[in-house]
Amino acid sequence: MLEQLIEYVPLLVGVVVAVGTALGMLVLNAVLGPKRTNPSKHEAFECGNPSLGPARNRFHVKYYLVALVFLVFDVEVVFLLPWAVEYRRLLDSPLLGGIVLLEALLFVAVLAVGLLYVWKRDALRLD
Amino acid sequence: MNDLFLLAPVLIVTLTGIIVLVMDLFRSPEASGGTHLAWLSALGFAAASAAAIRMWPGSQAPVEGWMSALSVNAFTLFFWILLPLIAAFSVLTATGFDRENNLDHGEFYSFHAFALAGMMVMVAAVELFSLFLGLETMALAVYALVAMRRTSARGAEASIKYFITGSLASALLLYGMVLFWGETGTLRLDELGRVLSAGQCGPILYAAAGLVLVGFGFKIAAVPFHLWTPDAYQGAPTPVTGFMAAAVKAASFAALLRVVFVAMLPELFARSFTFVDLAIAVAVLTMTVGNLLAMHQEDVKRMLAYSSISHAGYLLTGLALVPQLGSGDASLRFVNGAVLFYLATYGLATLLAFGVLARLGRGGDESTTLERLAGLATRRPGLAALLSLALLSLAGFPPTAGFFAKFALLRELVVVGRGKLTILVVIALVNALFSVYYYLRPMVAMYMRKAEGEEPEEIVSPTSSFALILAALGVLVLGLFPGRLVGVSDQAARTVSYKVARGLNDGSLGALAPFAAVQSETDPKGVGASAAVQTGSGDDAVGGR
Repeated sequence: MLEQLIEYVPLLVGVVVAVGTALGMLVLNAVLGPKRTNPSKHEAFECGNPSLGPARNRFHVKYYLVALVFLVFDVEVVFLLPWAVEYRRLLDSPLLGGIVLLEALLFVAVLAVGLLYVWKRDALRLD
Repeated sequence: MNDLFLLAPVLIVTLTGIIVLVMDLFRSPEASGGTHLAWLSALGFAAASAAAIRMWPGSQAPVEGWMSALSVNAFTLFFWILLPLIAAFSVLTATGFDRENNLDHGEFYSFHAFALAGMMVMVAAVELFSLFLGLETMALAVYALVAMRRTSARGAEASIKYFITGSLASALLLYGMVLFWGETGTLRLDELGRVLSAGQCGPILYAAAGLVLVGFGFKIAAVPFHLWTPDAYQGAPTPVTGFMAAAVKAASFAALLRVVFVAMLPELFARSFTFVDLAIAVAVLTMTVGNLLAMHQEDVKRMLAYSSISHAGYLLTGLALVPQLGSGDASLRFVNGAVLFYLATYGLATLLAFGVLARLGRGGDESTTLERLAGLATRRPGLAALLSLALLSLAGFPPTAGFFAKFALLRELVVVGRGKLTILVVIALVNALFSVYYYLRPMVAMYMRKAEGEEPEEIVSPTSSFALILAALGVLVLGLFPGRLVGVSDQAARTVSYKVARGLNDGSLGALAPFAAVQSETDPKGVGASAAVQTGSGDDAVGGR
């Protein structure tokens, strides 16, 4: 029993270090950090622009859908990047290159159907 | 490219889903969905099933593809034939209900297709992670299907309950898989089995096996993991409930059988009596609790939900036989074969029952109580007869397929258990007897009671009637001539035995001998010739029983 569990000690160390680092930073910051406040520090941060209002604004509920759709296509690009890197190497073999290109096109095509779907169902229309 | 051909049935199903979805997008907003989407998806599913049938002869030697994650052997193909057929029946019986409940749009059908594709990956997986991927694809689509009636509060409640318990089950499965990976360094079922048989089973492996089995327990709704079932089944649109009870359960059982028989047998099950005792206890609890709770339900849909729990109990008795199979016992295949046969016939009868119940939902009416059924025999004698046939089959009355399924399963418990499992058989028989009570209650309501007040109306749908009559014919034909399906399920079950999976041939093949002979004769190119040989051996298996 014990010998088997010993194999998992590195995992435990990893968890302890991760949690310890996060907690330690927070504690150190609270204890050591200088506290100088001024009014602009309490404003919502909008990438350096003067803020337009409170941060807890209400968004249109459809923005949620747009965000979801964005996430899907964002991840699509993430998956395509490693493929693009490997593709140059696979081009050396003409047959394999064709198949790999076809597979990637198929992947994009399936996601294009998804885009067509949200478009036709008016999920991209915000008014 | 060979991989793609192997996966053809799954690809056909996925493509069907995409085509239906796109076709529905270009429908003019005024036009109603009609039945053409249902027919199109049913045809696609039937084509997938046909493709799987076409692949059957070459299936004696398991063919692995996709980096050895999927295996297309007879066991896989059995479910690749069965599951699309269930889905096709399900979408066809749903047509009238969909029209009345405003569900007849592309999503309803394409979610069926995507769930089906997930199931087909799941039953083909010989590696835990692919199995999990298939399971999640199926589950996500089914969660959406349950919530399809967006204005129904009960539907939303059902979907959330199903989603939360389903996620818990997935998490437990994943934890179990992680522990397996951590201990053995592999996720492949056959390698897991080999590692387990070589080394000693430490506590971590027991925890892993336990977590995986509990995860499956949720999916097949075994007691005590059944609490979500009645609410989810009742709140889902009725045709979706039929799909869940028939297809989702069959797919989960197939995956469970594969995991237990290929990876955990006999090392965990046969060596440790506790696992088998647990399996027996869960089987007994599942059938008894399901039956007891079904008795007092006034809602037929809820009653059938509990009945589906008790059927999971009967099916789980198959696991109780594992320790009896210790050293090179070939009768394993019969046990498995009986379980597969039971799954097919139970799925058919369940679809039929829910298909008839779906016809009650005129104008979005959610009532499926016993009172609602009163006088159905005079209003719609055809529907009443079909529902009666389904209930008789579920109860296990002789001319129907349900009788032969129960008979075959219990017979194996007696014969293979060599008398050690007699108590289990008696409990199952008593349960079957008690279940007759609640299966007869809807029939009493339909035939012997008159509707009080205004007579309710049922949905008129020729498409649904067509599918219901086909399913009813299936129930009758399989009850009268079960031989062919028994042969096919035995052949399928043989390929999931751990010996075949690990390529062992310890000379104790016994009844597997004809299989071995056929295998050596099988020539990948001479598909037609080997088909004849296999049909012959399948019949022998039936005759030998």
